[in-house]
Amino acid sequence: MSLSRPSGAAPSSPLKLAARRLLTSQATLTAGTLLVVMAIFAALFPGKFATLYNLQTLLVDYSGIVLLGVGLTFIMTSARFDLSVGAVLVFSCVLGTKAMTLAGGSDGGWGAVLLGLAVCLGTGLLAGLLNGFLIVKARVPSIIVTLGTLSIAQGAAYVITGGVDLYAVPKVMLDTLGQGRILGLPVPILVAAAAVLIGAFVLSQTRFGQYTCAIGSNAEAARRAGINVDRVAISLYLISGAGAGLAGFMSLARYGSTTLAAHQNDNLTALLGVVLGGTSLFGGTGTVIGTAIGVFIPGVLSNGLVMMQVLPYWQYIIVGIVLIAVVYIDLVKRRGRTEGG
Amino acid sequence: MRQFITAGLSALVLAASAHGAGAQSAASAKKYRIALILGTTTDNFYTSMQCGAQEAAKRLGDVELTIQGAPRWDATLQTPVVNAVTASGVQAIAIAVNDGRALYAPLKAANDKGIKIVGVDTRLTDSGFVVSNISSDNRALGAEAARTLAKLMGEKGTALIPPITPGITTVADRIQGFIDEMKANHKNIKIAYKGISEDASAFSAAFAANPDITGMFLIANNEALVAAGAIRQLPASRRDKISVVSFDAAPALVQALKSNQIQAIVAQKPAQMGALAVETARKALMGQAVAKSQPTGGVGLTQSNINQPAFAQYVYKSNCN
Repeated sequence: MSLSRPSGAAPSSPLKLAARRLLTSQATLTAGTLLVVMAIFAALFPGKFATLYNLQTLLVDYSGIVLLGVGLTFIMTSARFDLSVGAVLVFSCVLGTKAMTLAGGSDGGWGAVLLGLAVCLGTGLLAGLLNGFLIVKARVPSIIVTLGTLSIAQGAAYVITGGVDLYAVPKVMLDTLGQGRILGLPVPILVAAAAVLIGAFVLSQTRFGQYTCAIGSNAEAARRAGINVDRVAISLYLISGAGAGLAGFMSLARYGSTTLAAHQNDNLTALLGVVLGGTSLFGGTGTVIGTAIGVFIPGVLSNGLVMMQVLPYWQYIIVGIVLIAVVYIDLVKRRGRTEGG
Repeated sequence: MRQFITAGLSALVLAASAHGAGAQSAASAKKYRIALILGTTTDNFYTSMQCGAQEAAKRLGDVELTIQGAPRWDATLQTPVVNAVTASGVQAIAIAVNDGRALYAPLKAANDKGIKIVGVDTRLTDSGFVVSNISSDNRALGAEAARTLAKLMGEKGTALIPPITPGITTVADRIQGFIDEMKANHKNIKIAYKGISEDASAFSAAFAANPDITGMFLIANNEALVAAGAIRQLPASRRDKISVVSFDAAPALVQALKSNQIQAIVAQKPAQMGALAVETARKALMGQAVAKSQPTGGVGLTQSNINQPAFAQYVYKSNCN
């Protein structure tokens, strides 16, 4: 990924550029796969699969994963990992609920909700800062650092709660953010969509996004080109942490519980979505829109398999095959690129 | 080219969904479409529940039963399953909820679509709209386990309880029932509450740290299997002094009972729960009255009764054949 766009063939407007990118990217492959799967289920279960109710609940169920996926797209584009987001999500739920309990608990008003949001986001940002600092300054590999913070966040959530779920979430938050609708659309979907749009804009249209790609392609080259690699890398972990904190806040709004024993799969599901969506496992290229689509492949499979009255075990097998295929295609493409010069 | 493919596919989706509107529903007339959503699909307790439900559905003849669940105890995995089952057009859902509060919203939404909800094993904290809750009385069974263990320990010594994976209310009730009974009626027995439940080395460490342990209360299938392994590693002289009362009659635990690694098992009645769940959902769909709460009992299994058919029938099943 080059730092400056080729000026000769530059498209006339950013909109056209975005459109062209969308059509030529691997995200299109992902979207195609998703559409095929959806078409099959829609044909198999007329009047059941392709209903407004089913598609909306599907979107809501995976909206939290999308929030994690947006941050992870940035991290993986820079050729790093973050395995801690699921645990940070639960940890931010715990601190957020504690804060809201002080501000009135179930009877708390919007002040309590805002405090909860601030604490959840703050928790995520702090976790991101810790991750980023250890990875960038202490130079511990990102897989190890985030595996460590995963364990720390999970343990801290258990220690603070004594292993018992907390439930003092303001009712107004459950009714509006969790179950509410704006213009007929469930709020969790709108939050996820906003995060995707902002993330997609930042990664594909801003200098910061270009730096992220550059670092992922070749960190040393980026450093020599004058990019402050350390600062960008730490910012990426702040983004990922903020995504986890926001996902934690939305989880509280939906489930009304700190859900200590849950969210165990979220991290891997989000990672899967990022890779299925066309972000290279080796860094350098990434697409937030692709992630947003990729996340739904396992979701749609699981949904359809439940309708087929198959236990969703098959989902694991199918997703595994698709995952390996997608990464293989990515590899072949890269090989072609290097051989071609 | 790609644009063309995408457009074609979207058209296919639309066509398929439009086609559905008319052609449905003629085939499966006169059946009660009931779904059973298990707590997890990997625990013998729920396998037995599934078998009981399937037998009941076969016996009744007019029930089309769907069995679903996620492989792990995780409310965020169970929620999409509930939503998919709701969308698939069942008339009633019987469910062992993974979290008493987190599952409220999806089940309430299902109920708002006219689907009857029955609670099995675990229950929603706010179950006003639920037709009936079918469950063991976990506190009573925990107390029963305490009485049995106290007797085995000769009313003295230290009993170990391993803590559990957080957030599971039925098991928390079990432990509370056990502790309350011990404190009230068996004052010479001390309770040590430590270790990590699903880690054999943590049990070994707990044994090392507490040389006076002569009793153990194991609160569910997985924990009991791991603990049984840790006990096996103790020197025989010490092993023989430890009495173990366990919850849940998974086949592997019954094996441990027969070889005297465990002295007593409190078995629940998951098959009966499953059958009751199907019968209750069907009654509700027929418009008949059902009791709001239906407790199912427990059975004490020991080496002396395990070979009698009246007791052996309560051993959990690992498959339904």
